[in-house]
Amino acid sequence: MIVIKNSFISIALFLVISCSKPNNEDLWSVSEESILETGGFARDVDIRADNAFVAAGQSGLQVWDLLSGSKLNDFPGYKEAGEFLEFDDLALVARDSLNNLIFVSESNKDVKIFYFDHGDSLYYRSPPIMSARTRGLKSYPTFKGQFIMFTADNDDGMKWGFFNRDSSNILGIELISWVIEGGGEIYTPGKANGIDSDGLGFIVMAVDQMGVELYSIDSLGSEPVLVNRIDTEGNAEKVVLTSDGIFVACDDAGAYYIPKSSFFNGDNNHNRFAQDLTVDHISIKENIAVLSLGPKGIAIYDVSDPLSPIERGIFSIGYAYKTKFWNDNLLVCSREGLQILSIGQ
Amino acid sequence: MKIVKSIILVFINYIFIYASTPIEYSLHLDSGYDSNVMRFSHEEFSEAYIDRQIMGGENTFDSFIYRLGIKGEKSIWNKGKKNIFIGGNYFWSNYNNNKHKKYWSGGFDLTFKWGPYNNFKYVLRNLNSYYLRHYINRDISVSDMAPCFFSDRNQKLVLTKRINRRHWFSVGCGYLQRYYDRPFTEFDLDIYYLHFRINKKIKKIINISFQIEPYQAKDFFNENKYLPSNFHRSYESLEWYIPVSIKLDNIFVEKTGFSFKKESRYYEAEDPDDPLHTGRGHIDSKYDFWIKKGLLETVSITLSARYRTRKTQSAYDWVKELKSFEQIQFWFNIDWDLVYDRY
Repeated sequence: MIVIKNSFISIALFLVISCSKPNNEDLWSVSEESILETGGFARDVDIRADNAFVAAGQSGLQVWDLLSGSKLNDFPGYKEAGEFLEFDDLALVARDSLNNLIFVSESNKDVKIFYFDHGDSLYYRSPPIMSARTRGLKSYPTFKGQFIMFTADNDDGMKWGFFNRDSSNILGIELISWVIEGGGEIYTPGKANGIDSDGLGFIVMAVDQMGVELYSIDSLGSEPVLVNRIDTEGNAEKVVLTSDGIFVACDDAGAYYIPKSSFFNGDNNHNRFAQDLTVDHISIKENIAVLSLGPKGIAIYDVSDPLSPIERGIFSIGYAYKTKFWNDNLLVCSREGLQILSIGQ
Repeated sequence: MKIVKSIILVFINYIFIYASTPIEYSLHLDSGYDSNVMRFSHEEFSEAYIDRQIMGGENTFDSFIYRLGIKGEKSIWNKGKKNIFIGGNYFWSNYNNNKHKKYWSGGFDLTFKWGPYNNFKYVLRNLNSYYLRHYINRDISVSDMAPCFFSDRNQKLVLTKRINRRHWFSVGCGYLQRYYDRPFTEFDLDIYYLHFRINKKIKKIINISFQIEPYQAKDFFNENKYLPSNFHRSYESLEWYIPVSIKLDNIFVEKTGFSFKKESRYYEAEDPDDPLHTGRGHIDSKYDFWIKKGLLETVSITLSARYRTRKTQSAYDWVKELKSFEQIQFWFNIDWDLVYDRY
C-alpha cells in the first residue's frame, strides 16, 4: 500500500508542476469608453478644461463636454456680413482660451478666427489670416489681446506672426479684427505639412520629401532660425516635439524618432520604426506613442527608450486621422466620430 | 522545461525506487518524407515564387524527416489479474529541410487493468513548439511575418471494457490545451472532447475499429473587443476514424493495415470583419497504409504512407483556395524492443 501511495504522490506532483498556461505577448489593450458621434468625419481636436473643440469635417465645428459626453455647441457654419456660410470641410482646429478664440482651417485653406465665449454663438473675425494651403498650426496667446501663430504652409514654408486685437466703431457697430503686427515667412524647399513647437525655444516642421526641419527661437515672437534639416525616408507629414527629440510621421515609410542633438551635431543618429505601416500622425504621452494609420486604425508603441520603440499592438478601431491624449484617455479623431479610449498597459 | 524535468523526475523515481518488476522499453528510429511541410494550398505554391516571405526563409516546400524515440512501460502493482502500469514515451523529430520544424513530443500513461480489454487509463501527451508556418504578425504589423508554433497538452481518461471474446469498446473524455507561442497567442484554444470506440476481432487475424470523437474548441483568450488581431476562433468538429489491421505472418509481411480518418470542422465566428473564419469549415481526410515486418525477434521495421487532403468551405473563394491543401508522407520505422530486468 505504501508503494501505491508514493506512486500517486509522484503522479500528483507531476501533474501540478507540469500544468500548462497560455503564453503572454506583452501587448497592450485599448478599451472603448465612448464614441462622440460628430456626424461628419472628426478630423482634428483641441482640448481645453475637459471641453473638446472638434473639426468635424463637413459637419463643421463642434464643442463637446468630454466628462458627460454631451455636445455643447454645434456650428455647421458662420455668418459673414449677414450671410450664413456653411463650413466646407474643417480639417484643423485650435483653441485660444485667453482670448476666447477658435482658429479653424478648412482643407487646404487659410486660417479663420472665431470668437467663442461658450455662449450659443460663433462670431467670425474677418479677415482670414496666414494663407491658403495651411496644413498645420500652433498658436500661443502672449497676453489678452495678442497671440502668436506658426503655420505649416504647403506652398511657402513656415508662416509666423503675432496678431493684435483691433476694434473700431463705425456707425455704432463695433468691428473687431485681428491685425498682424509682425512676423514673416521662411522659405523651405520642401512642402510643409505639419508643425509643432514647445512655445519656448524650438519649432519643428515636417517638409514632405525633404524631411524635417528644426528651428530655434530666442523667445516667442523672435525670428525662427533654422538649425538643420534631416532627410527621412518617405514623406514627412506630421511632427511631435518632445523635450529630447522629434517624432515624425512619414506616411508609408513609417515613423522616425530623431534626437534634437542630431540636428545640432549632424550625426544622423535617429531611429526609424513602424516601417511597414502608413503613419499619418503621432501623439506622445510619457512612454506611449500612438500612431494614426488611417484605415488600419492606430498602432501603439512603448517609447520608454525612443531610440528602441517596442510594438504594443495595432488596433483596428476604424479610420483614424489623428489622436490626442486627454488625461489618461486617448481621443481618436476618426470617421466614426471622436472615440474616447483607454489604454491598458 | 518544467514538463521535461517533471517527466524525467517521475521516470527516475519509478525506475530506481520501484524497480521490482521489469521495464519493457523500445527504441525507435524513424525517417520519413513530407511533401508539404507548411501545408500550402495550390495558390500558395504559385505565390511562393513571388512572395518568398511565406516560405519562412526555406528553399523547399518538402522535407526529409528523422525521428528518434524511446517508449517504456512498467508494472508498479499487481494482484492476480489486476495490474497498474505506468508508461511513457519521448520522441525528438527533426525536419532536415526546414530549420523551424524541430520539436519533441512525449507522454505519460497510467493504466489500471483488470483483465484482457478491461482497463481504465489516464493519458497525458505533450507536443512542444510544433511549427506550422509563417504568418503575418497582425498584432504589430501589416506585412511582417513570423514563425507560428504551438504546443499541445492533451489529457484523456479512457475506460475500455470487453463485451465478448471478439468485441470490446472504449469511452472517454479529454481536454486538449492548444497554446501558441508568441506572437500568435491569440490563436490559443481549450479543446474538450469525447471519445467512443468499438473494436472487433475477426478470426484472430483482423482487427477493425470504429472511433468517433466530437470536439468543442473554445477561444477564451480574446474577450476585449480591441485586442490586436482579435478574432473568434472557436469551433466544433467531429472526427471519425476507422483503422484495420491484418495479421499475415508470411515471409514478406508480418502485419499490414490501413485506416481512414475524417474530421469535419465548423468555425463559430460570425464576424463580417473576419472573413477568414466566419462561416468557415473544412473536411480533413487522412488515408494511411502500412506494412510491418519483423527482422529479428526484437527488431521490426514498418513502412507507411499517408495521403492527407483538406477541403475548405467558405462563402469566400479566396478562403477556400487559401485553406485547402494536400500532403503526402512516407515513413520508414525501425523499432527495437528491449527489457530491463535487473531488479
